[in-house]
Amino acid sequence: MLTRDGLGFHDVVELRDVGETAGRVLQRVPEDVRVELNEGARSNYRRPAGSEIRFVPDGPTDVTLSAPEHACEVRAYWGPFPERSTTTVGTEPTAVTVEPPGSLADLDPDAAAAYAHHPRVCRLVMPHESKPVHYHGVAGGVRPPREDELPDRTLAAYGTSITRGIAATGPHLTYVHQAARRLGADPLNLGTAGSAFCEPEIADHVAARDDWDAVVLALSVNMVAGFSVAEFRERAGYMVDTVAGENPGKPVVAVTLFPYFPDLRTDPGDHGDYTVFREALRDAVADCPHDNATLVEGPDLLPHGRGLTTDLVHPGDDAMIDVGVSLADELAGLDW
Amino acid sequence: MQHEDISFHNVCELRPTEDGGRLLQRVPEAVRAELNDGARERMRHPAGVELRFVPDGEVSVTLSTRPQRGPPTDTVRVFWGPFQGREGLVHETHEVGTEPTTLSVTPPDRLGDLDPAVADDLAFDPRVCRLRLPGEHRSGHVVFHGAEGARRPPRDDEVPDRRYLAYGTSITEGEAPSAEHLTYVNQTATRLDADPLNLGSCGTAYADAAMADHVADRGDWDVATLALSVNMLGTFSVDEFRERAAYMVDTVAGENPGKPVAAVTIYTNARDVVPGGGEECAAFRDALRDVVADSPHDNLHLVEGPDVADGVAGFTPDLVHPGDRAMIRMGENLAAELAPLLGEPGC
Repeated sequence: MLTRDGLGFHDVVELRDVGETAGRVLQRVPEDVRVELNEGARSNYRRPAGSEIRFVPDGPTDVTLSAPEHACEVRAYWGPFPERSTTTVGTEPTAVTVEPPGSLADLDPDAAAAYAHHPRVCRLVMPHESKPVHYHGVAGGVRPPREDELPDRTLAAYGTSITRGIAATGPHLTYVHQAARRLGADPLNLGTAGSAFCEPEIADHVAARDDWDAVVLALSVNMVAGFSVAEFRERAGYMVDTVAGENPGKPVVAVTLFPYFPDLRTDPGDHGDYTVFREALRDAVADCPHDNATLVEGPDLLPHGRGLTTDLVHPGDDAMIDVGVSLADELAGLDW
Repeated sequence: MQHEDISFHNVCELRPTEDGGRLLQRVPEAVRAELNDGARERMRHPAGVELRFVPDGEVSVTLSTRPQRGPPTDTVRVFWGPFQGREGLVHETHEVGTEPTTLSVTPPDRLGDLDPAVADDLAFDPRVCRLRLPGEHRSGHVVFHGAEGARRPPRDDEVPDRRYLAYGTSITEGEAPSAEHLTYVNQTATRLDADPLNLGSCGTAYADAAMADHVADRGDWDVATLALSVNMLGTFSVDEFRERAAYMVDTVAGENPGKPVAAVTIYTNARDVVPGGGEECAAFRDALRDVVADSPHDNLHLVEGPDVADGVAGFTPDLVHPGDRAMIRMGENLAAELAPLLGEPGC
């Protein structure tokens, strides 16, 4: 986990001075990876999606953030316990003030230690659908969480806006979070809205990271209308092979297209050939020489599309929950 | 109930107001008047209330809110059957203020050509517009001022054919989730393909006899949970609790033979996880166990609250009120408890 000023930055790999503010933007992939990606992904990876600032404070603490393009809401959790209210981070630097709740001071120590995230760890959970967030500084006595205060395994996910979770009501409601918490895992969200084009550079990056224990590759409704099935097959095949090959023993779960409007309507519109993309991913996994690569059918995770939003693409909260439950069931049966 | 070709779900009375509107109440006025003072006020908060209709083109509905101790406006979320409304890049929501506010809805294009086989498998028909009102402290008291546009109320085959009623405290009314559809009552109902009827009563679930009689007599539910009742800890003696709880569960179960009624012991809370607080809580749970064991009604079942709220992870820091994560878990667990009572293998 990236650390700075006594804070841990989860699902953030670079704090980059981009000259827009006196602070540093939270970035989900390193700059040398980001610049190799398509324009949409370059933008997405400078927006948080499940990113958190984590620390153990010894009293009242101010963490100063800004959201230069658009104000956003940040919620503090204490381990698994969410504060009731959020703090609005404005376009100018805004102090997010937190203080350990007295109500948690008397928790049974053994019970407290058993939570995946220890209740003494403050987690400032960034929004999942927002514009960039910049970090400016911290005031107060803080230290980064220790390993034994955090989940002992991590579930990563790469995919589209569905994976990023943009239509969930809160960042804790994305399917990645829903699945991870059922598995006692930390979620690591590499979803990139409208731009999950499976470039070799993002494949190489996911493969080379050593901070996940299982990964979901949800590939990729973003490529249905813009890429040929042959191009998709090549890119998806490279991603699955590379990520699985460089991470033996870690489950790599390729998920075919989640159910969406052509599955649900009588007229599939401009997505008429969508089923061949599912077939191509099945072939890619079948042809993968690495036995830690497995296939999950997207439609099995969300029968009937119940709980989608009315665009019939993006899962709303109830659909996110259903996908999270089903995906956790799939992952629980794998060895990791 | 129906009014102006709209089905007012979880509303038992539309009470005329001085300005010509209709105040939404979850119980009839005759029942409300017999409840404890706090519950009288709570039954005017529209937890679990939905205005439902099938529009033919654009329909506008005018509402206002009378803020109590919550926010100055109420957020109304639009669903179309089971689909969460989305407009552009945001959810389809409307803010209702203290002055009459007109909100308009139009059936989403994408739902116009659904495969009939898909629609047939859904508990709610996607043609049904559902204006889901907020409950608990997310809302005030809401007044209906009228509607315009061609519409009809949903037919019986367009809504779930099973109804799940829940009585309890703020946990049941849904004090701390982000939105209405994330209460444990809604989460349970969704898993059971049931329509929820929420009679949660924040801070005031005293198992009043009038509420017991009302639930027993309504006749519009198929399965009920009575979550009794952390509100009575420190307010009533164990004996008083036992007496009230027994009247409620025996009356509700006795007048509804064949319908499963689950008495739920006090949900997991701070007293269970910090030293020194658990004895009174345990005594109340024991009392409810005894009540169920002594009841002559075989449609009455006991559900242990701590099996439903299996720990306090996901509660707010008060360690009493479940947030989204805990509400979702409660829904999963409670649905799994209720499914066998409904003759289903589980969910």
